[in-house]
Amino acid sequence: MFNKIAFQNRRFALIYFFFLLFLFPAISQSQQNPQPGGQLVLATTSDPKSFNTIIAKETSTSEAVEFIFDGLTKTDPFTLKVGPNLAQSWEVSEDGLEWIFHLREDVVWSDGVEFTADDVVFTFNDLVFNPDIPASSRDIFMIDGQPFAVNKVDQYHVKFILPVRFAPFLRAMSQEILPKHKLEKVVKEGKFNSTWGIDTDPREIVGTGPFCLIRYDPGQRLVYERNPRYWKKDLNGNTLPYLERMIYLIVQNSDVELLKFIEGTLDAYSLRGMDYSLLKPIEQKNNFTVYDRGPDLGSQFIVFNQNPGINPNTNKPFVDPVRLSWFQNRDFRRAVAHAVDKEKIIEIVKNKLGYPQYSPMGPAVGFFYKDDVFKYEYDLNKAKQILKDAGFSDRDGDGYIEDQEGHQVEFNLYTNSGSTERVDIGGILNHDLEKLGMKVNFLQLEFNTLVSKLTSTFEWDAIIMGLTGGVEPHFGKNVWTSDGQLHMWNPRQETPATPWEKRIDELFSEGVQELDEDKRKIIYDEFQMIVSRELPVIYTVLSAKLTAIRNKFGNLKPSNLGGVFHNLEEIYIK
Amino acid sequence: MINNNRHHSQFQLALQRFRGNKTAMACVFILGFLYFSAVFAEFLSPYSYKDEQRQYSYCPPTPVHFFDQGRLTWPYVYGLQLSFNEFYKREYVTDVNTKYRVKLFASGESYKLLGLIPTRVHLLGVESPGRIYLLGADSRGRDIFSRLIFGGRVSLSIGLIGVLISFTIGLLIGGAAGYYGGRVDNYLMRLCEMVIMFPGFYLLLALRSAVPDDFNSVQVYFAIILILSFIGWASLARIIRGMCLSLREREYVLAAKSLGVNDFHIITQHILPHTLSYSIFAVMLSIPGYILGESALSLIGLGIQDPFASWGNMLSDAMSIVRIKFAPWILWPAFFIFLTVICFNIIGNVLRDCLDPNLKGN
Amino acid sequence: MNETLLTIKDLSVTVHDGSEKKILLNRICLDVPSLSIVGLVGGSGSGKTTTGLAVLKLLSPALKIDDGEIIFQNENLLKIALSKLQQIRGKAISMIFQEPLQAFNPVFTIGYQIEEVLVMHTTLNTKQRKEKILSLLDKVGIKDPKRVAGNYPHQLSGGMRQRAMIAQAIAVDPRLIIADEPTSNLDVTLQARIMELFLQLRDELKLTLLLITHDLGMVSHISDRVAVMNQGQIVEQGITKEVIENPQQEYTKKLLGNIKF
Repeated sequence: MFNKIAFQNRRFALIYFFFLLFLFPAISQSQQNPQPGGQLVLATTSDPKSFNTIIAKETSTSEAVEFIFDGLTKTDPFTLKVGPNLAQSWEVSEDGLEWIFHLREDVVWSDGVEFTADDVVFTFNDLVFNPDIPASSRDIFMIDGQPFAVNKVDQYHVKFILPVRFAPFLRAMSQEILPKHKLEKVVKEGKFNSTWGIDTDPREIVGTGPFCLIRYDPGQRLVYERNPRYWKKDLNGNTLPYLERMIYLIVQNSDVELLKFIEGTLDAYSLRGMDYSLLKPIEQKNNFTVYDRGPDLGSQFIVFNQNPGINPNTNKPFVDPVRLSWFQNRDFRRAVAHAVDKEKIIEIVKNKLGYPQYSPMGPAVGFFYKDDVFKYEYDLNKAKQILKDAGFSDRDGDGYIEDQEGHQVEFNLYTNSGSTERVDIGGILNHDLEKLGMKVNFLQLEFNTLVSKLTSTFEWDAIIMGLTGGVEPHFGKNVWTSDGQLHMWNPRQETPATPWEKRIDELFSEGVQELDEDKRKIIYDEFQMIVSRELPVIYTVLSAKLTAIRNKFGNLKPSNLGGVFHNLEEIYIK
Repeated sequence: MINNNRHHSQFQLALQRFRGNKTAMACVFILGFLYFSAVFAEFLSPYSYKDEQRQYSYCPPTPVHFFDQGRLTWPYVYGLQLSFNEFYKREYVTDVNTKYRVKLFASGESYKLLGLIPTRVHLLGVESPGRIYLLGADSRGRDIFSRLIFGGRVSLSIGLIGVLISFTIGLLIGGAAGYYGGRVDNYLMRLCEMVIMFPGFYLLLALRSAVPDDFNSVQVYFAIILILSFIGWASLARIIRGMCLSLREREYVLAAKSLGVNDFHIITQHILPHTLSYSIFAVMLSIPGYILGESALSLIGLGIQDPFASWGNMLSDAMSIVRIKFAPWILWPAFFIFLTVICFNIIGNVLRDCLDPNLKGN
Repeated sequence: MNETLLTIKDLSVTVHDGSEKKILLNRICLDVPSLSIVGLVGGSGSGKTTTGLAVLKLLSPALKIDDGEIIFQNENLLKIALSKLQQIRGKAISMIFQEPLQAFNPVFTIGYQIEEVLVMHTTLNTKQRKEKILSLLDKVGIKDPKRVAGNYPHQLSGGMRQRAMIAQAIAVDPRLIIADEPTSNLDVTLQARIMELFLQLRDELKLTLLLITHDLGMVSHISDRVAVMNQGQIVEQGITKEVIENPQQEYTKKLLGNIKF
């Protein structure tokens, strides 16, 4: 019997050996050196307004320079952990207020000049915190209204001294570092704000990132080439990136983008809901894959104006006082929340590829996301009952409800004409609010007009709007603290107008200084509960982020938070 | 030498000729039918323009069946159930167990016929809970056929009213400029030129943005008519002015003046009627411009707003190749705009040929 | 009753023809006594029509009245306001034109155009106006007033049209009628009939007539006074009999030489 087993063992060994033989090529492939070369062609919807990432406010600029610069740290889009980038390591003092970053010593700017602590100090002290420069990221770095001190310790060491503990500090250190040797002079001359505009010679835009801009044809394309001096290397010591070139084609129309992707000009395409029905069936044939990266990170909502202020120019209140009383009434807002037909909106607007949203943080946020918040489901009867109990009913039989003083409920609902999705959502909501007996004038406005209503003129009733989002709750401070500029329903309050807004201020104040992640979670959980209950904004739906990418690329790691090409330097052509 | 010809006026002779042109008369009937359906929109459409049934989003045109197991029967439709397939494509599954009879003079949503008589009668309907989508449904399950009829009411009326206003302004200004000449003519014509010089579409946008935000739909409707008229009167005025410049030299104008007839009377009674032959076909040829102007505004969201239907704003739904691929019936409004424009153009051109005394055969 | 109804004094009219200034009327002086028929005679281009049009300020805008007065009922017609002038036109002073087919609007009926004058200057209601139109047409010798009133200008004969125009001119009982070549387009028999009509109306309606014509022969038969014009100037003026039998000026003699008496 022993002999039989032995024989069987040998047979198995042989089979196992042949099996390995077949597997071997697969294994070696992944250890093989990826061939360098090739290009990646992507699309963007608009021209960048500038290449000056410090003062730029639009995503078009940050997109254009994403791969040119590096920050001290980098967030892993999957684990959400903060890892080293230009800084190889760091130490923090006991009290959490002093940080010392040890910079990489092998980094060189694309024009050959060495990267040192001077550049880091320059970026913060002379750019971000420079009062003459309207740095868009300054708000994040101002803690309690104070900047932090940035000092050079030696050539490769920088010390940061924070006035108070700042939980998002490490994550915020993804701030791009700019070259002192290129920009020092213009800052001294006070010309920084006009530097690195779109007419700049691309060779002037010097960075430490994997790619350099070599060409910009306005209205057509941005062309990038690999940075031969890039500091990152692969496991075998080859310099990255593998790709020789990257191109952003400027395509304003989504349909054109879709067609360009199908015909082969573009290598990747972000799908709208209905595109899925068109692209998924031809995945195999056209040799690409559609990746579902999960729910969108931003938010889309309806906001009612609760601003009791008076326009200093006309001495008239921003909002008609009768309407203001409705918008300030939480029951009114609750009834509207019950009238948002999320399920059908997802079906109609997102072609069923979407998710309902109930609070400021969606599932994509990850760690800080709270799922069991207050949820007001679509129920028109319930909405009608809430309105009735709050004193709104149709007293004169004309089909529209009036408040307790007899004023017919009528208000304006705006959104921007450029967004077909928001226009569709507005139409659906309008229909349901009409069923509740409200007279809604739904109007589309030009985007900039809308933004100026929200941020400067303040004369509006209700707006459907969207915001981008992130994993760090504190970076939404501008919206949620009562003195915030983007506290849309009642911005820049001197003292909080309601107890719950006061509580949110307190939570944000605590949350930013709490370094223990779990304790932070409790704080922001309460924040989400408050928002979902008090409804300063009424959330609608989130898109599913779907991207189609050609199959010819290796090392693709599409993520929700980092996008598809966050590891661009590792990507190669198979 | 007494002439017994019944048709004294040049205009009536032209009309006779026009009636002989078969194509033109066909166009008149088509337009007549479209305007008729606009007036009786509520009766002719099975559903209201804002009747949403979201579970029938992008439902394809409902097939009407006349045969049941080989035997002729009263027309009926089947029930439909929406499902999304693996590619998230909408599929409507026919439920052969549910048959809904098509009803003539059915009872539907109540309305006021001609704005006066309250009634519930619609030409077509279907046993509830069935739905009949003759030309398919839009993204929110609204009946495209019904919305086309209501949309026609908006698009066609804007064309007509707008052109009437422009026409009146153009005649008066052109008449005054041509009759008085001199400085009056100068100022008025420079004004005309300023209006003409402006690229029409941008002037349209500029004027539209001047309309207060809190105008409701009806007010926006009238604002759009006024805006379109404001752009349209100038070219007509210029031509009328040219005609009046020569018409005022006619002796009967001098004679009327010598009899003490006042200027306004002379312009409106003795001069402008002689411009009518030109004006009429100029009006016909310019109506399409108004219809297209409204469509363009509504297409970009600045015209008639949801939920009101106009052919233009229905088309803004169709500005996506993917939607057109999966629901091609949303393009119907384009066909009707095209048809209307062609008809007006044909009628205008034929009228002009009929009115031109120099043309062979006249 | 022999007062002067219309006095034209030192009337001068010029026209700017490109850069040239051409004198059309040079200090014209003319008297039209009440209830008389005054003939204003001259060849073409003499300025007679211009004179007639000037009375009611109907000159083309290119023509400029430099100087002079036109006195009618104690008012200088050249200086009064337009609204007052419009009250005089058609009401106190009417004009009759050479070619009625041109002077009538082809798209309106005769009746409508006469009615226009009544609407402008009277307060009669519709029925009264209709009656007045028929009586006017009858007065000018039209046999079937109702039919003519409903006809368009091109449906009538030349003679009927001229009578219709006269009917229009007398519609509101004017005191003065200025007739510019009223019979030049008619044949001789019709001419005589129209002249008879003028005389008849002058007696019945107490009209004064300023007859503008190139036909000195006709003038000699019908008018009380005559003024001869040549190249924008009144060459000779006076009682018809005297001027015909004893012409003082060369030009008058020349004109007379061409006439058969």
